[in-house]
Amino acid sequence: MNSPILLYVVLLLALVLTLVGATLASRSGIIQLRRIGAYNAMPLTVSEAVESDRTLHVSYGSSGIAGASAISAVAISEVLYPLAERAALADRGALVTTSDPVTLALGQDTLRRAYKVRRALAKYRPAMARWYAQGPLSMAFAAGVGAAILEEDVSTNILLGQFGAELAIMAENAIRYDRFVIAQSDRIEGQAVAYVLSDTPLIGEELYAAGAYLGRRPVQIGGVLAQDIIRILITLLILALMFLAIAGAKF
Amino acid sequence: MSQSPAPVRRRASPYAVLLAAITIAIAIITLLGIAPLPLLPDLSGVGQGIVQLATVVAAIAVIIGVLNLISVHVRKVTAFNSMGSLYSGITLLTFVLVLALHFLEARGMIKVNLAASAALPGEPVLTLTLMDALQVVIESALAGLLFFSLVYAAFRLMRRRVTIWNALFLVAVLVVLVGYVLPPGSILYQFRDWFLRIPVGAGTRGLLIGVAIGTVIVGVRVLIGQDRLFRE
Repeated sequence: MNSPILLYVVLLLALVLTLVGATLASRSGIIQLRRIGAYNAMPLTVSEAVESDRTLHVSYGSSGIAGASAISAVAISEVLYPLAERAALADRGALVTTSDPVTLALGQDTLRRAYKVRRALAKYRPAMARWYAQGPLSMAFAAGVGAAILEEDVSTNILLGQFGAELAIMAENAIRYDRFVIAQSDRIEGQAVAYVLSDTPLIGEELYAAGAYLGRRPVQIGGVLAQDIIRILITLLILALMFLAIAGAKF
Repeated sequence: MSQSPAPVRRRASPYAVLLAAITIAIAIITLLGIAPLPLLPDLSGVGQGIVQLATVVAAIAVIIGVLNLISVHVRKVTAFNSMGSLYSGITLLTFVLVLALHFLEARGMIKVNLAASAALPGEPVLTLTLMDALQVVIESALAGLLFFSLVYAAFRLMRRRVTIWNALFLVAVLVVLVGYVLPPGSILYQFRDWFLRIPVGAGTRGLLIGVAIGTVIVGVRVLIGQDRLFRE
């Protein structure tokens, strides 16, 4: 099977499983989502930020809507939207940071829609979403965000998407001043830093389940079911290939 | 999740429907352009055109990003209520100076006699040298600090919660660090080499496969117009 056909087979499988999962989720409550600490903590920490009139900070890292990490930027918007809806109740509201200029527009639009839904559009300012230049090592971005965390009196930091080891600069800056940190990265070095520094880290693909946990729409819950089934199928495929390789099969 | 309230179902606006229709159409055309199917017409030209258009939009967006950065710092300078205002002032001043320098160099009004000038004819050598001399050096210094930050974080991890996974993480960190110090023939060096190749390599691949599956699922949701991007 050549690669385009394989791509469409995977997409079709994902589509069918998502729709089956969505149907099951809408007709009955049989799909129970496993507990993910970060998603339990997010609404609580945002509520705390609202009550204490402090800022919620969501960072896209270098996830770019015009690049290979476009889908991770879309998934982060799934996290940002419901949290910004809550944060819109406070005067300080939300701060969004990114090092990708196209994602800046996505962040601004997501914030605007969340504030509009809460009838708080008067509080929304485009400068709530900020672009910091990435630089050769992403340290310029980390330094800019680290300073913004303190200047804007951020209480909750949700750092998701594409980060390298520079995530440590931002998270360390927040933790040193007792700010809550939830972190994740789709890069391995960033994920290791997130695991060490975050109070409740998200691991890898858990980011893509955000909609199901924070939005609970059937299609989003169906997506989580599809994600799990495809993961099991790939695991079985790897095991089968391993046993065939042990048996001496040539590929 | 029990804490989050059930969302209110909102009717999709005509604008959102139009947005979804445009996005789905462009996504399908691009997909068919990148991965053509045998019985369908070849859309690779259109797909490439769309990708090039996205690249142009991304380039223009850099200007919007710079304007956003300037507006944030101008607001801080005009507020003048903390040390941050001073730093914002320095940022703006540097921006203006580098821009002026680049402009003068591009117009040939400033000429420098650097070794790089001969190697890179027609390039803005002065601005690039300034970038190398300041930003790269400062960023490298900051990257050097990362090591201490991470070691302290690993120590704090055990203080926060002692679990089997955290202990395993700390042991892995120690094995890798000590393994780098020892000579190539030692057992710990060979163990570190094996450790990075097999368990760490397998874990990395597992994580990346998980991310890829998540990407496919969210991508499918965007393709069928069920993502929150399309909701007002």
